[in-house]
Amino acid sequence: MRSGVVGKSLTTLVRDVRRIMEPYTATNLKERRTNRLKDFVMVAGQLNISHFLIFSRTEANVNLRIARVPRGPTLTFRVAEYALAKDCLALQKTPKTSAAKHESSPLLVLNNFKQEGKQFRVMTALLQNMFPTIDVQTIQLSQTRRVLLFNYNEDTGMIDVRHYAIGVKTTGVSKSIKRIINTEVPDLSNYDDISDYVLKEAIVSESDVEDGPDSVVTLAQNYPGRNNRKNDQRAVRLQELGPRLTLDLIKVENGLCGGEVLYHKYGNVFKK
Amino acid sequence: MVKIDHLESLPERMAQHEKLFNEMLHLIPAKYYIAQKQEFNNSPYMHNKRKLKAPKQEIKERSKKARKAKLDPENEKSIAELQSEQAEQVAKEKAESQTNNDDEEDEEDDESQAVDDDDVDEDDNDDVASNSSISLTKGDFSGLDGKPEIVLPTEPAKPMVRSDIADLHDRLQQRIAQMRQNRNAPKAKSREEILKQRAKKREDRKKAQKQQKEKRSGGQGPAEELVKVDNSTKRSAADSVKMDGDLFFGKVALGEQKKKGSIDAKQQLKKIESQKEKLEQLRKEDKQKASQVEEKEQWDRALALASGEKIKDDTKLLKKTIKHKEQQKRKSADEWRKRLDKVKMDEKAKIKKREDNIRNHTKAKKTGENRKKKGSKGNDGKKKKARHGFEGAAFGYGGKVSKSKKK
Repeated sequence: MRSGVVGKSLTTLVRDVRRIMEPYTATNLKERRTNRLKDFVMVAGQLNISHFLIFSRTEANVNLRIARVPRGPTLTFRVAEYALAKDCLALQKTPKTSAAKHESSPLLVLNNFKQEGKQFRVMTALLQNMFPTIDVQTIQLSQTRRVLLFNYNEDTGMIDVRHYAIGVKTTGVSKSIKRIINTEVPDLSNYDDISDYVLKEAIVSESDVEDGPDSVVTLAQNYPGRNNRKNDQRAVRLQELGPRLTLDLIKVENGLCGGEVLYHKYGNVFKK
Repeated sequence: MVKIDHLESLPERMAQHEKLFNEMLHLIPAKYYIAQKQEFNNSPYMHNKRKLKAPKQEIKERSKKARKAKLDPENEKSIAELQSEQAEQVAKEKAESQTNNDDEEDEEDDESQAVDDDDVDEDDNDDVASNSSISLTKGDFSGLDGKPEIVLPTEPAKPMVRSDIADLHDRLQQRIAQMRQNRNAPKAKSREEILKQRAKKREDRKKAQKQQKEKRSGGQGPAEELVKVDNSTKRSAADSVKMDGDLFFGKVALGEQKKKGSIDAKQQLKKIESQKEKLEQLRKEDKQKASQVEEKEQWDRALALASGEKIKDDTKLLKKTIKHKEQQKRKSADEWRKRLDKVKMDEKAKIKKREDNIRNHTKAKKTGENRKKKGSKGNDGKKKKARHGFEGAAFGYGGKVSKSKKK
């Protein structure tokens, strides 16, 4: 949610972030000017809300606070850069957006978070608990349609946040055969025989990138999307869905937007 | 240029060529090949035509004659014949011009001859090279100067000797230099230099644009920043993505988990209070260590909270909880007591009632009130139970309800 006057672009960003967090979020939450934080806290108890993500803007920068609701720690990030979802989709030739993807929560991947410093452990714990636990026994592949990636960049000290949709593609066959399998009968007016069409290696398009053995998986279950049956070999492809954020951790507080400051990036400012 | 190897066969080949061309010429009607003399001498674009206008009658007669002449087969001369006639004329006129030495005539003749000469020259292909060589060696660029010059193929065909070529080259360069001077063109530069210059110009232009831009936007610059962010270490994220391990994933449910026995609030409170005391003691003894311990505690707390565990360490809240619990206990005890009391009371009441009834009964028995007379059943007599719908009321409304016999 937003706090204070943030402007149009940030409002859109908030909406995009809500979409990332679906389905366990209040997508259509409307905050009024008169609402204070304690109002939200009171409601949170009743509705079983676990975390708050609060965006705010100052003259210098945009801030994001992630807090655990009852009395939990608050992590304050500075949003160094962000890109809206609609811009990310506009970059792609064929963006794939479907509502079904947002029916289950995304998988979480944290890269390079094993760093020195307790704040990383707190961050890891906080982020991991924002999403529901995955029950290995009963989970379906159809529930894993999205992935949310946090990457810690050691050199700059920033965290990149990326949001992808998981797709699978047939591998091991040429593009022409793929087309026959996946879609309907192709246009054969220019060819004498179907063997010409199949053997024609003329154009190697961008999407025909050769997948190494690492990215090829065997589907354990049927996957949504045409023709993805159990025990088929498929290549995993990621398509960018949502906004991009670059976060910079500034401080960790012990209370809900208050309390003792455990860690401050720019030195021990208010240490008692 | 003619190769020296093929020199011997040259005349034969030339003869062949000539034969071929003559045959072709024969096929073309004369008027398409040889330009007829223009009527308006020495004038481009017919100025003062009116002065030379011929009377109508003459024109008519001339045109009639011409038409007739056209149809006359004898008049049709082939190109070769026409050319030979022209050549004769040229020779005659040249002889005349040489004797007369008249400039005006020369010019006139030159013009007409030039026209014919061109045709004659065209016929002899192989002589063109030699002609040009002749004209060049004479150092005469007649065409360029705009003055037509008589150039007759006086010398036989000669292949260009290589030494001549070097000479020609020099001459050409001289000529180009001369023309450039006339044009006032800039100094000659090599290709690379020119390219370099262009690149430089482009860069300069870009710099100027940039400066302008900065000037424009420099006035609006960012407001004073509370915290200056060091941008010098900005590097593209893609460069430094660590790929080797350190991947964390979302929480995975790992089967059954042992449930910790929940601690009573009182005990919890006790625990926390004891912890606080310890910390206080430690602080008195060793401040640094105390702060360290405190910090560690804080971090652990934050971590646990972030992980979702519920930590109860707020003394106020704990006290409240305890109080609440006590209250509840008391309340429930009260209620139980009340209930027990009620049950007892009820019991008592029942017993009392029962005893009362029995006493009454025995009393009545003793006095003999309830003795019933023999034979009498009880309420025999006047009081009969009035049955619904049959006996009815005294004043008799309605009477028995029977089915109406209306049809």
